[in-house]
Amino acid sequence: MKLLVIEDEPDMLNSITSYLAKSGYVCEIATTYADADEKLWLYEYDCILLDISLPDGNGLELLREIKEKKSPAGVIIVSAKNSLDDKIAGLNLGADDYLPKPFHLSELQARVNAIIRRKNFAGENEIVLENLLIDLDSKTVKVDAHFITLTRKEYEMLLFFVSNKNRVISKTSLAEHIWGDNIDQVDNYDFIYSQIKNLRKKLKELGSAFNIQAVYGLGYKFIAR
Amino acid sequence: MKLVNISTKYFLLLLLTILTLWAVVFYFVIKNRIFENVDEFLKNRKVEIIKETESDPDLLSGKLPYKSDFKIEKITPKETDTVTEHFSKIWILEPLENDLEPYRQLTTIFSNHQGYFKLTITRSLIESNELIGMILMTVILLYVVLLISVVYLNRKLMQKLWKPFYSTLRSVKNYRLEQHRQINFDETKVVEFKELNETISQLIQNNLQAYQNQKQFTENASHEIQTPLAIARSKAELLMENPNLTAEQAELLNIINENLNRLARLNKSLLLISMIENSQFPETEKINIEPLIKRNLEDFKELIEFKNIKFNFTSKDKNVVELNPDLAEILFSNLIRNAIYHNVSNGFVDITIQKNEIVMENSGIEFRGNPERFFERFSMTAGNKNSHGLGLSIVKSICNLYHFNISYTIKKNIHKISLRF
Repeated sequence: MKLLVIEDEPDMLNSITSYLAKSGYVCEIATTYADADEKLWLYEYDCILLDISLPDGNGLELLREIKEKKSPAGVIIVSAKNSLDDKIAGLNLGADDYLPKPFHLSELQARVNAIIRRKNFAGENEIVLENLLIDLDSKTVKVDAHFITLTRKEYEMLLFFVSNKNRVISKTSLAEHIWGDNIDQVDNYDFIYSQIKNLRKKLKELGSAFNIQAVYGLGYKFIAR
Repeated sequence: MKLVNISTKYFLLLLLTILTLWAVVFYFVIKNRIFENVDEFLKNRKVEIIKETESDPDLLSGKLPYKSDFKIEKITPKETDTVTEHFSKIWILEPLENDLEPYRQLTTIFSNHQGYFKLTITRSLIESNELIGMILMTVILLYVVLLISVVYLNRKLMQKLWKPFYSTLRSVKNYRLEQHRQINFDETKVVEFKELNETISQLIQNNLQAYQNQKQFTENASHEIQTPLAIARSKAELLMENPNLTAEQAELLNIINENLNRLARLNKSLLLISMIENSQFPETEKINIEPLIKRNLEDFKELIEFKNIKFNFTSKDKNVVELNPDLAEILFSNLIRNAIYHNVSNGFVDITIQKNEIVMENSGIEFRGNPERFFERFSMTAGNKNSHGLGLSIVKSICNLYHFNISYTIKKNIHKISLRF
């Protein structure tokens, strides 16, 4: 999987590439409009992360070019401006997703995974992880051919864990991914813990090869038993 | 006290004093003049009578013409010492009307070759008194008319003169900075008012500029904070993955992370508020409130179950409101979140949709003070470190944008928010 990360802040660029590289993505980088423009002409990518405020040009112009040359790459717009106009313009131009800064790296990972999955496995929309099978169309989960009954939120949680398997997911990024802005208090970490506990129990009952592990007080990790 | 009343009051005091003084002085001067006139007449009459006695000696013997106004008595030379020429006022009985009438009398002596005589001349003061009375009446009338007309004219004049001022006052009173419009004043020819209007316009212009700058600043600052925040948070998240972390380091990292998240939320909320205030959500559509609330309740389902909160949702009327769909979502999720977070375990939330009104009641903790303060930015921060205190400020700024009326009341431990469209 080849990714192009277009981002002018070197520290941010570094965080993104090192996080995604650990998940097995090949990340190429571009820090300017010109640089990105050149790379887009020369190579093909599976997914492009596009920061729309570049020092030498507007990222939306790049998006227009990507779409004009009918590149199959999925595009995620990343913006510190969080302006609705940019979001609407970006999605209208054919961007697949829009992620406002500051985002959690695990959230970015989940979005990238979702896009690549959509692009590459057009027909069969399934994720298989050892004895765990997730059908993304029917939103069902099986462990060794046995269905697990999950609530909608538990299903979303599991998907988020699967997207970030073997990675430490902070409590906040998990909460924000599942409940959006609606969750923003520490006393709700108890609540999150109770939700995790339920999911963990369901996975364990059917003997899933993967388990949710707590990492100090930091968060959780979806890891093989 | 109104300006016109103050000026009337001073005018009245001044006029009353001056006019009263003047009227009194005038009255006495006139009265004196009239008596002097009478005395003058009596003196002339004396010369006339003495002259007459030279040609008509009968007069000296006491034979007087009918209805004469004088009396002559012969006196001894000795008596001349006791009589000096003087004027006096006397009362004489008028037989016809049986009434005492005032008279002025001149008593004098004169001498000729026949000896010494005492002469008394009288003149009725009736006419003079009538004259004085009439003058007094006229003065009083003038006094009253003058007072009334001055007061009336002063009021009229003041109203006319100060009209541009009151019009300016009205404009300034109705002016709202957040409506972003210039202020308009009525034309005036008065230099001072013109200057006042120009000064106010300038002042408002400056304020408007400052207000817009401040809003712009908040928005720009929030935007600028996003990037360093994003970098810091991503580095913290990368650090979390380090397999060699000790428990102590993890604890520190956890605190860093939580505070970065808090900062991120705070910044996001501030940005949202400034975007609402900067009118960056122009599109509106008709939104049906009931499904919106139901959808939000569904999102909070697990949390509601976790806190064991009893929910009652009553829809008595269909409420369709025109507003921006994103803001509608934010408005209701913030209200519902507020009702859940500031609730107690095993508490309740009642939501009722009525015609043009939504009432949310929830159990909570008792609060002394003005709950309307919850709508102010950061008013709650001191009490609860994890609530950034901006949820209800966001609600308030959305309500302000659409001129919705929102109120927060607390009775004992029941918190009630009512939202009227």
